[in-house]
Amino acid sequence: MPFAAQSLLFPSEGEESDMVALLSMAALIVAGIVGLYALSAALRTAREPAVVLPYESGLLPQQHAVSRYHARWYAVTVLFLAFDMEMIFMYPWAVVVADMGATAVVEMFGFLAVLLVGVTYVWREGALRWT
Amino acid sequence: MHHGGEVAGLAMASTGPDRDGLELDVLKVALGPVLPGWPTGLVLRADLQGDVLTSAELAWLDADTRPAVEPDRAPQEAALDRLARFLDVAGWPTAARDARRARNGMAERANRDEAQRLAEAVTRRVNRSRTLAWTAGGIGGRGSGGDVLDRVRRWCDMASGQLVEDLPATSLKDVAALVEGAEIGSARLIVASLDLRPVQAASASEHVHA
Amino acid sequence: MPEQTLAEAWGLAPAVLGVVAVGLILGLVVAAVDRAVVVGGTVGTVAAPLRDGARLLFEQRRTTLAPDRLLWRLGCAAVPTLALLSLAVVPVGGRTLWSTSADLVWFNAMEALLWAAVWLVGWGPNAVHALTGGYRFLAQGLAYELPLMFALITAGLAAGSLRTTDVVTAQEGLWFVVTMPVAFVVFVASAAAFAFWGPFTAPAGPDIAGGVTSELSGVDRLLVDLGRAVFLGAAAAMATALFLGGDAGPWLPGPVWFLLKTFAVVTALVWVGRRVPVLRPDRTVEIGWMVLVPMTLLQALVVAVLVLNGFYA
Repeated sequence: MPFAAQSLLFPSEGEESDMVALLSMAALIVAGIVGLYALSAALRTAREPAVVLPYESGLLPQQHAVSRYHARWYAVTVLFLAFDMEMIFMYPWAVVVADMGATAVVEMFGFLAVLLVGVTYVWREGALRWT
Repeated sequence: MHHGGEVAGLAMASTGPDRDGLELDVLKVALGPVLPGWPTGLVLRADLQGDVLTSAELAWLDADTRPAVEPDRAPQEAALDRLARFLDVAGWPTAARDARRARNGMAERANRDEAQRLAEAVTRRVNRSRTLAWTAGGIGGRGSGGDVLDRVRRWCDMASGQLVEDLPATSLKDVAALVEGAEIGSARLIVASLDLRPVQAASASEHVHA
Repeated sequence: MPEQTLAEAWGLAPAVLGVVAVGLILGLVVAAVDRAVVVGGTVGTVAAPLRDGARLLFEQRRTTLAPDRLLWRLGCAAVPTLALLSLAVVPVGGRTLWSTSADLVWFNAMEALLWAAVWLVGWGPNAVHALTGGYRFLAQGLAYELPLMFALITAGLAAGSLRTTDVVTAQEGLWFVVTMPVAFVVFVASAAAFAFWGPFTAPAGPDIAGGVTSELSGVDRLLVDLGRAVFLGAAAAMATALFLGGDAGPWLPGPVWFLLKTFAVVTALVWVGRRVPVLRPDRTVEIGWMVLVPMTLLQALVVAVLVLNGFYA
């Protein structure tokens, strides 16, 4: 799939000029957000923000909330990474299926089937449930 | 800045063993006394590791200074109110809205039939909801009285006007046992599904003293 | 370059302003329809989101104890920025502002960056409910991200191109929703999930006191709410382009058809989404991997076989 990769990586001339449109849009959005903050600062009577304790449903917090949070689904993140890498290949693959024919489909879905076996194993090990 | 582990006047979380066999931060958190959908004055002090409550302790705040008798209300209205508050916690605003409309309609007494129809419609919707059964099912089920879903269905029966026999009151100790090890969202649902009243707790402790 | 982009057709400034305006209008439509379904529709329903937004501008800002100010603010600003930028590849008037050979990847990338943005919004205030919400969004992301990507790829697969205008052109004979209903439904549901709205509100759930949004005030809250609404609107517009034939339709001009279809998608999504309670992420992850991933892959396989048979050619 070299030609597909090339068209993904190297934008043609027209696409480069489009970048200007995209960057202008990003600039407009940033300007709009800064403008909203400025507008709010100009409009509101209480300039200084009120310093409050974080909401702890009526009582005072005893500790800083920012801690080493135990993300119990860490096993799923590893599984996700394996699939996510695969997805990146699937984008250019989608473009060339018609040209490459049945081999491309068989190879891709064979590979996905292997990954799905892994998912089933992870599921049976109980890693998709953590509470 | 640092004074004996304090930053900006507040302590940092300390570590503790976790059920996964790791030594991780334990955050001390209070849920309540003012939390939507929960009985006012109920405080759940918990140790939080990630989003799981590793220990829980419940108490009523100022239980003795509260009026001992709740305002007298028809059981159906009270059930609709409790159902609406549970639905708030379960994140179902349209059903909670309908339950409150039915409750208000009953309280006004002008359009009782319509309120009754609305109450039956909303309770049928909640009872039959497979989504609710899937997302709230199977939690808070230790001991008697079934799980969260069973309790919600019992309320639905009360809210639609059926007579339901009273369940034995749940002590705060039992509640603590139910929420220990639960995810914070499950713990919220479990407590919201129970019928907890400060009156019972206060009178029970008086009984012990006497 | 098969077609002109919006910038070439209209000129740079009108095109950029136009796309941003369409994004804001879509966000307003989402907020108004949502309000009409939840609260009940009146004449003031459309104005209500505007009024709320204006009120947030006047509100005194709040800040918590020892917040991570920079990252918090960055996260809040990123949510609407990503939402509007994702519209750059949505063909609103039959043309996109930006047209590349990898439009679908761009849309995907904007939504994937939202993971970081929402987590930062949760991390910033140094509050337990917000932090829990931020991590919940990541867990929810693990559930919806792959099905969403497979749905996007399925549309690109049938068109043989990742350029959204090509995908629209490829549907001249038959709308893609006919041959890929699973991908369409999964795409729209994932839109609700990454805008953490309706049944996927868990990261901002009422059970954690509003989660990532719990400590937001003033402009910060306005930006996050705006971003979520615009993202839902942008995703509905993208669903229209990818699965419902874009601006195709008889009698009426193309852009009108496009907006009508988008409006229909928004209405259907809000109406269905508000009929169910919040789905807890610790349960959706299992469904995402064991049901949605195989289903969307099967959908992609069916479409791949159709492509091989020249069905879409």
